[in-house]
Amino acid sequence: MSDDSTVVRAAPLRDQVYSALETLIVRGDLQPGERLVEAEVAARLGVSRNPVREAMTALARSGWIEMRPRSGAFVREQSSTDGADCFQIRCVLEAEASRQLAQLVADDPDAMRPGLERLGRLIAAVRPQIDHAEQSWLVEANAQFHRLLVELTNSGILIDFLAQLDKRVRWHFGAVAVARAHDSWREHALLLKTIERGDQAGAHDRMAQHIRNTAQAFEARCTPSKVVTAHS
Amino acid sequence: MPTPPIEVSRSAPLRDQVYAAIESMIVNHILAPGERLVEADLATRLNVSRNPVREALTGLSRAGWVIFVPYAGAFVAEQTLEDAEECFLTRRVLESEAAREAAVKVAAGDPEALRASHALSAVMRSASPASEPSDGLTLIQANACFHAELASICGNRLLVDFCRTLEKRLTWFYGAVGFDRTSKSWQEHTALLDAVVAGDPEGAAGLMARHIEKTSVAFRERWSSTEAESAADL
Repeated sequence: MSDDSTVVRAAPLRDQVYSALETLIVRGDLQPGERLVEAEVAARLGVSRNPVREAMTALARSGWIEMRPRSGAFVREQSSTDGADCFQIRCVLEAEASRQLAQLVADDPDAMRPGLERLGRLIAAVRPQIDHAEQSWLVEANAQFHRLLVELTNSGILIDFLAQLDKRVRWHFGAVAVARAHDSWREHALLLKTIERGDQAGAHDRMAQHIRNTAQAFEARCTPSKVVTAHS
Repeated sequence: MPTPPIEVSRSAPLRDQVYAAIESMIVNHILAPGERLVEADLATRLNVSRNPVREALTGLSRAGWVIFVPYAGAFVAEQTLEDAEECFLTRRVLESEAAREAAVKVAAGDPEALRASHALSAVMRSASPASEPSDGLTLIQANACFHAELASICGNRLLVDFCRTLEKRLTWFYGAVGFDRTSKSWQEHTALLDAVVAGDPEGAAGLMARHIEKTSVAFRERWSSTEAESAADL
């Protein structure tokens, strides 16, 4: 490992393994419910089993992996309850972010114009691509729109909290990204118009509705048996 | 002091324990805002090696508690009124949602929500502001504790975690200005808990939003008067 004199220290191996596994799970390369065998993961990533074990323990703590007694480690199943919990928080935080952004626009339209134009350019660039875009591209584009919008509020806490949710959002959104794409970007465009008018209540409600729409699409995608379990 | 529960599982990794220890020293102003953090001193103080301290400081900087200044080292973050107000805004929307969801769960007869809300009601009835020790820090902690307990009724673990993060942040801000809304806060807490127990989502959410708004107004006043006092001291 590096000594004290090294200026740029590489992340510890277990953190690199953690990120690699997390990315594979978020992108759906490791499917929900898939079994993870320490030795196989180690071979696939070209590392020894120790950092894999440490990373898997940490992934279990953050909820990506489920350790089942006597049968091993599995990628967490997507449940409608998990998705609903995540969407509920996004709905509250992003609706607040939209409201704040509309307020900033109302207070000083000139200062906010460049940021809003970036959002507009993103929408214009994405919409013509939707029909031949892959799921991962749509997930990335969606994440970019939402991140940019929240960053424009300049609220450190909102930015930080939503960044913490980013991977979960991608994981859940992946399931509906293709089906929702056209509606979702039409809603983005309408939302932007409302923000441009400086309409705080309107921006709040449009964002809340946009996320509720995605949440409903996600819930419908979850298998009926799981939905029943969650409500029983 | 009650004895800590016996840990059945493997204890948390050292870096996580060191993280929690330093975070708690910052939240409770044992390490003051703006104070310089020397890795070796902290390691000695916590009786650990420097490695977990370094890892913890990196994590704390990611969470906004610690600032790394090039060529100068690590410092506890400074407090600003803008940051505090951002905290209150975010807390208002998150905790109102948690209160609403808690009332929804109670109304739907969720056994866990019913048990937790009645347990919290019982605690609130058995204690009163008069029976609390008047120690400033204890009051701040009792307040944070009420909010954390109430939020946990909603059953959304992510939401509870975010509320807890904000409570820590606000405990830190209150440490600088003190807490003077005890009896008013107590009445508001009781009323909003009643709304949760009655399974009234809109009532609970509205009471929580107004409660946090009032708290933030009171906080702003204390902040200005504390600033005026320290300016007068100079």
